[in-house]
Amino acid sequence: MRLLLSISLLSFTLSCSRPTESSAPPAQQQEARAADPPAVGRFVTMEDPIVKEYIVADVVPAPPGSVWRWTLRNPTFRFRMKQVENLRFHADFTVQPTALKATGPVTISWVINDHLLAKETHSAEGFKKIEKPVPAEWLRSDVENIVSAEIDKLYTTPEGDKFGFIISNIGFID
Amino acid sequence: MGQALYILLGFSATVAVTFGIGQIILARFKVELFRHEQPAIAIVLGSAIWSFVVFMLAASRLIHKGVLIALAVAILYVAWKKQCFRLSGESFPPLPKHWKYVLCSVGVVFGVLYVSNAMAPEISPDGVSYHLGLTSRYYREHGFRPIIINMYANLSQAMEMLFLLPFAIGRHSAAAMMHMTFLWLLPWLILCYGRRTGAISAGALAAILIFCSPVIGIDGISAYNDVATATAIFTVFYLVQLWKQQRRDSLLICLGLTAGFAFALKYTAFLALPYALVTIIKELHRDKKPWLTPALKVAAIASVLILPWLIKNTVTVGNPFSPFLNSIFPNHFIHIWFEKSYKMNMASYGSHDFWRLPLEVTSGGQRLGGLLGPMFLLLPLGLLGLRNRAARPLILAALLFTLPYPANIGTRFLIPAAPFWALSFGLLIETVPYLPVTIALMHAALSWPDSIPLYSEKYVWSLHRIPWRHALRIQPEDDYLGRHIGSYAISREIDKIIPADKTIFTFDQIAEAYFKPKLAVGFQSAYGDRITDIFHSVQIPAYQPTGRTTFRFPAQQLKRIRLTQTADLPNEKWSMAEFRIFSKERELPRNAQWRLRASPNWWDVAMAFDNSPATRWSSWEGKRPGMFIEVDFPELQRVDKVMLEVSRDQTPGLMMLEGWDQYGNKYQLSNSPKESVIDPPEGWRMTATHAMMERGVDYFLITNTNHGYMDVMKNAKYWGMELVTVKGYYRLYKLTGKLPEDAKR
Repeated sequence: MRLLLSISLLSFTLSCSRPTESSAPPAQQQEARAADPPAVGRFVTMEDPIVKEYIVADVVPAPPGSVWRWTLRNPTFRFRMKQVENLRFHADFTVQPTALKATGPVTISWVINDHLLAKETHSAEGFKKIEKPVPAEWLRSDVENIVSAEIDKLYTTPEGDKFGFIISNIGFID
Repeated sequence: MGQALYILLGFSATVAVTFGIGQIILARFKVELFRHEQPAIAIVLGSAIWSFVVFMLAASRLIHKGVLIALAVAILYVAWKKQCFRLSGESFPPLPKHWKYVLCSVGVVFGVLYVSNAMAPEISPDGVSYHLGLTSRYYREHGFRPIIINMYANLSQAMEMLFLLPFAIGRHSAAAMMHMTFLWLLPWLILCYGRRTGAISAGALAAILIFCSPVIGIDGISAYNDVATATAIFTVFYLVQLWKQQRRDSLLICLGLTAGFAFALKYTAFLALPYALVTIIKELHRDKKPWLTPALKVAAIASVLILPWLIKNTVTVGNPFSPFLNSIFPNHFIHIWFEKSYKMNMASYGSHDFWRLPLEVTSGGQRLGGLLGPMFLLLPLGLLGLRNRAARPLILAALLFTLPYPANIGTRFLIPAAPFWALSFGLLIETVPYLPVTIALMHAALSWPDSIPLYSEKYVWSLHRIPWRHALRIQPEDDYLGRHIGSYAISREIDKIIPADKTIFTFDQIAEAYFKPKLAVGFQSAYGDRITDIFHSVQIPAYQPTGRTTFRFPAQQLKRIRLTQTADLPNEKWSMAEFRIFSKERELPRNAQWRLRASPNWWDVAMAFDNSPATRWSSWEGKRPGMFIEVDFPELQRVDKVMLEVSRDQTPGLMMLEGWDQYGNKYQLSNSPKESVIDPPEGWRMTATHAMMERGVDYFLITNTNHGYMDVMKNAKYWGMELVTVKGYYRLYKLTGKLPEDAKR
């Protein structure tokens, strides 16, 4: 019995000890050939510190870091991109429940450089996503590209303010 | 329909094998049981042995469909030859008529609900992620191969061993049905206990309380292990009570097997063995009889089923009790920091309003993952029965097996103690006319899927309907799985397009039971922690090594240099991206002869000497005095400055730099470093991707709830990632580590 106990204690002590082992320095990393995205690019989130650079019109200001913003009737953004092939337009937005109750179903049209990309009617509240391929000929790599949305009905708050929908992010992705 | 037949075949073959083995044991050791008790106890004993046999096959990498089936056929043949499929023993006296009707009707109605849901495609969150994810991996790889990127692979997995045969024949649903077997066995054993002890109403009420309980129902029909664990624990209790009456040695063997099986099913059942041992020792000691040999017999037999799991962990991850007790068994695979936060999360589920727990586990159900049913609020009244001699062992067991609950307050962690609470309560009220039947019927009514939304919270984990068309595969599996599992579409896509030997990194569990490539989930291992840290260093400025901590001191010829932590900050890790040593303002080139040491976490010390700002050594424990990082030079080096590249998420300073000369004399070099800040490095995203690729990540899966989702979506090319596919909000990228031409400056 004693022998058993001793063996158990010894093996427990050995397995619990915290040896400090050593190693050699590994192969040294070379600096990666890399770059950071340009300041005004092809996609923006509302919490981006430079989101103002992207906004052309009809987006209600919000405190820095806010992850969403109210739009007015015709929110408009500008984007720059180096290549225009195989891009998809993407936006995450929300049809706010109180607003929807007040206005009834709303229709939002998405326009890229004067080309109508989509026109969708929303009769349910909640988070929405639009993601559609964009023909390369609609886009320009040498100048700004203008994207706008248009909502057909505005929500009027009891205080008399008018709002469209809530936008979280918008732009072009691969 | 063909698939449905395979499901039924896989399930029934496994049940038959476990029953056969159990009957052989009962016959061999001449265990005397009532006829009604025999099948349930036989299946539990048989499951214990079969899970052990499958473990051995898995350890020998002999898991093949043919081997499993051949072994099963051989066992069935032996059992048949020995006429073990016949039940023997006396019958219990017949049940009172009213209970017979109530039990039969509840059994049929809920039985249809349970069988159809268990047969339907498997959709449970843990079932489709790790329980069957690991089962399918063991099946594909013919057994155990070291898995260091998934802590769930380190848990005891007797249930996964039981899943392997049904999975080989009927895939996921057959495995889930194997767990469902225990959903029938547990109430059956509870009823038998009531009948054996003459407390028929108590037994019948408790059986219905357990069988109909919403969380026990959905857990039991899923590829989980909680109901099996509860059954094993209850069987231990049952056999202990039998042994107290009969004092037969053969029962000790059965007890050892069942207690070992309980631990092998789930760590939280570890109390089953001490419970059995203490009861045996106490009884024998009281009767002045020798207790050592019987106790050792039980412990030794239980060890046969427990030790394989501990040995497997010791060999694979250096900690027999992984993923717990990492501070006693420090290792490179699970961080102490993670264990601490995991335990805190499991003990609170995000709220410290513990007074709400009774309501949440009985009728809320949303936050704690399921509800027991409102009638369970009455169960603590069973404590009032302490004066009743028959109730005392039940109350003791109820209290004992509730002890592990505070460690994880999810509702299903109450399942092991629930049978004892139910029986104690049943004993208290069984003499009140009509009350037990009324409560049983009310509980059944309140537990039916249509009733649950009337009182529960909105998003409760419970069964909703009888999906018989999907159960019989009249409607295709994909349709059902796609509707119920958010990650199913991306999981199928992964299975189609990514080779099995590739590794995908992601932050949340997905339906890994439905694809073959390896999945590393951020929180599931130290490996995942390191990748998460690298990825988040891009997103979180405080993680970037923009801080410089510089120690200057009069030049010294040193053989060894050590930086020691002097702060005691348990909620802050110690980390550094680079540890640079200088002489006359020139950095000493790192040399393969240098010996680097650190305490704790010496395994990662090279990350502070790799010249990569994206990787950092971290203590992965709270800062405490005495932690150190050290460089031993092969020969004397002139040194006059040490500079650390550190992130800004930690308190600066509070470190001491020491050096040793060739004679072992120690010098205090500096304890007053200067702090400064620089701009983050350019091209940071690509650097992080390279660091992830070097650690074996081939693909990166991200969804909209993950930090960094937008940045990856927007700047994939600057990350060196290529979009492979999008399914819903899941975006799968291939890591290329290459900057496309149009992104170059």
